Amino acid sequence: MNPFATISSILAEILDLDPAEITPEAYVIRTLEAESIDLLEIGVAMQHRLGIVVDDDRLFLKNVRIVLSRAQHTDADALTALKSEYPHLSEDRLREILADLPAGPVLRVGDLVAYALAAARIGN
Amino acid sequence: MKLDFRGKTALILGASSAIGLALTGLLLEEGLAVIPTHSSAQGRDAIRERYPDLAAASPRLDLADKDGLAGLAKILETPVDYLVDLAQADREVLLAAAGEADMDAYFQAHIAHRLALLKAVTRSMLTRRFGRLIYVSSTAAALPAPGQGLYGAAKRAGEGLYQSLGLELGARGITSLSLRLGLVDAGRGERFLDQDDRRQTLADKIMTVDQAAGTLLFLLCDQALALTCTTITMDAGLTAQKYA
Repeated sequence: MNPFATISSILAEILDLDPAEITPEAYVIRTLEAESIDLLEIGVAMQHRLGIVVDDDRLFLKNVRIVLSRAQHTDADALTALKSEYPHLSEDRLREILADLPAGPVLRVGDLVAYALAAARIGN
Repeated sequence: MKLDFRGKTALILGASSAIGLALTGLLLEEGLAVIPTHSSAQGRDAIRERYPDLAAASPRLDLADKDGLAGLAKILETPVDYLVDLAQADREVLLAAAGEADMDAYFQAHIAHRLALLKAVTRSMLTRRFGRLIYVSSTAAALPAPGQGLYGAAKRAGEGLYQSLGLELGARGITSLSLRLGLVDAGRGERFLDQDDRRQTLADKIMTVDQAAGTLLFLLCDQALALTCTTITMDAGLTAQKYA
């Protein structure tokens, strides 16, 4: 199963976008300009159309800064903390997120796809 | 005036109450499907007695039972357009005398578990971009009598949840309203009125079940959808004056 087509269709519909604009590399908030109410709808649509259980905080990487702050307070390794919170993302992707964080919200369409694939594996 | 309803199905929490039973009848007359919930065997029997055809469709849903709320997923397989929330356990105790386990359980049930339920219901409504939420509150939220501290605080918290949901989801077609009822001649209102000579001294402040249910029906209809993100009071003037 490749959920990209479904996720792309959901994003196009909710954000009123041309599907051609939606690539796995596109930033959901920074570039596609999704707002919090849009994220809520995207999560609900993914849950219904893909038949997966959705945790909005994890799906949309909402707590990245909180996780990193907690790690800093406990002298824990930042990458390890992110791996524990977001096991659906690869180590390379998490390193990229750490480097990219100062530029703004890091969520990419590919992260939604990775979440859906992991959730489907757990469901199966 | 003919009332219009763009939705088809209403979920009524606490439907075995006198107001819930009356509202169920009004909604059925309007051609809507009703899912009436109960939280006790007594409630289940009350629904069965009044609406035998709905008995099989009446799920048990008790805010005090968090695990039982998992049953919501099954209920929400039927698209729900309207939610009327009459679920509230009574608890009369002076706050300074309230047991800690009791107060924790009461607020868990009526605030945290209510929010969990609302989250599931509104997420289901979001997929259709329509939903109407009505919370039946009480004048005790504004003016609690001594002993109504837990009840009044939970009601006010409930109003807050509904107001915020209407605010946050209004752009997606989900509206919400709280209705503060005063002295309704049923349930705890009836028990209150039956004490001393209250029926005489408060005669012009007593409302009937039909008045409350009829108002709820109107508040659900399309014509009332602009009443959202707010709380209105229906108490025959009970809380309008400074002194009795």
